[in-house]
Amino acid sequence: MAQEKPLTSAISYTVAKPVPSWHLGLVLRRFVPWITVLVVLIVWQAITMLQLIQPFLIPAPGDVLNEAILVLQNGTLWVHIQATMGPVFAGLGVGISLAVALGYCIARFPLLEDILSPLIIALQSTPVVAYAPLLVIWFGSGPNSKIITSALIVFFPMLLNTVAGLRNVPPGLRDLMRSLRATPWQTFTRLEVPAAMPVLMSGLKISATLAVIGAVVGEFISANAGLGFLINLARSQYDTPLVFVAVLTLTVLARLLYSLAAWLEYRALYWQRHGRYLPK
Amino acid sequence: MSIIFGAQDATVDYSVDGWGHLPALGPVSFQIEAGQFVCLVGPSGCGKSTLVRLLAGLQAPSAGLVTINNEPITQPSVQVGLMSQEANLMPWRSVIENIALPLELAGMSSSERGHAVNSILPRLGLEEFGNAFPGELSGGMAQRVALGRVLVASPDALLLDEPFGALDAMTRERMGMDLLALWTDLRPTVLMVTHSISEAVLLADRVLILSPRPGRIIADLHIDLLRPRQLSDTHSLRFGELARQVRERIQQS
Repeated sequence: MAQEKPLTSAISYTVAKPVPSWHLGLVLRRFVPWITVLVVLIVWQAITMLQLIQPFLIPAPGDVLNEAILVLQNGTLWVHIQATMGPVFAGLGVGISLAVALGYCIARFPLLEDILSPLIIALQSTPVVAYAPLLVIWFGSGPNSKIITSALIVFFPMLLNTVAGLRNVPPGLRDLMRSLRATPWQTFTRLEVPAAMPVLMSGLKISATLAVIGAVVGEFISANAGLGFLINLARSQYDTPLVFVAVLTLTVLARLLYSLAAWLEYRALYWQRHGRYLPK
Repeated sequence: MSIIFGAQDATVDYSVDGWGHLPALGPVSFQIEAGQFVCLVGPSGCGKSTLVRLLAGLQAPSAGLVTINNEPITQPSVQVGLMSQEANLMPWRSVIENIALPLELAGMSSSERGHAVNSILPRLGLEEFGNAFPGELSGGMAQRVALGRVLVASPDALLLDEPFGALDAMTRERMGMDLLALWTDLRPTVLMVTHSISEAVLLADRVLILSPRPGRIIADLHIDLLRPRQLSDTHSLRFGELARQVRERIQQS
């Protein structure tokens, strides 16, 4: 087999040398995403300057910036950010804790899955947007309905990830804990939680962005504050720069929340980062 | 405390849905004396691992009895150390933390644990790797950590289910001799499952041979090679004779 290997593969092996971190290609790669952002901004500016599209459909970047400075200075943006992000964090907390608790019970007692599966499947298949009006009727247009839409949208991915994570605990490690006479609590804290952590953490990253969607959905139906409310309000007044400001604020907030989740994952999965261990 | 393993007509049947009963093991009866090193050989699928699980208290026999010091085994015992072909290390724990696990579960304080683990690391050839994570270790080193985790609790008996089965031949020989040295010092009762006839003859006082599934003991050979034993013993005439006997019994089954 070895002799039949074509010469080209031997060449590609010699080319694949480790690249030093200061290599020009790597430096460029770090900047490429920012170049994309810059190009989008330039195209946007060009479209508005050449008046290819009506300004009330797509306002100029400068107008959006002025609007942003205005609502930042008079404090309205901050009020709406708080009105959205408060329920987002509350929804994340409620949704994740309920999902992890129920997920643990389901992984532990498979009968529970059979009992609850019609409800879970029905709720999961129905878009949250569809029954969000009901939630507003039941819980009012204040933060509560936003918290609940946010929690509901987070609940299912987190539940599935919890069940998957706990079911993926290696049977050999379960036997090990049994043979060492571990108590159920010891098995939970020292085996099940850390073994499920990678799957839980990817669930958290999904949930972080979904929670923002949930809160905005709640605000679209009915609300008296929040970025979703602001978008609705600005749209009804054809204030497109303000719509842009609110949308881009949501983009930044959701991205920050995702980064926070990714950072938590990075911290929690410290053991995956180790390369080859070199003794001192 | 020393440990004597026993089995009286121990049998394991698995009931398979829509299939009926699948006899997996036995009936087997034997006794392993305190401090004895016994190897268990037999064709694959004959129930060797099942027998280990019975003695480890991880599984109950369908019929018959398994005992430790003449008491029926109802649950795992902390005096019995279990090691299998997979190292079964926790990837999120460092080498030291993995070895310390049995002590931690027993409620030992962290300073005492550190002391116990540090005293055992040199014996395992791991003193430089205490802070490494399992993902960074070779197969042989991972197995050493698993062995350390068994030894740190100073068990009176070891149940070893093909502990070196996944290692290369050279590492395997070295690990076998290391195990033998540890056994000479500490004298636990050992039951070790192996596929290797020469490993069984080199290490054991007694070799039990199981028949194909459902495994029954078809031979119980006394290995009268002098101790301490060395790798070079494998070239002796007596060794060759004993290995031939084991092989013949397996082939007759």
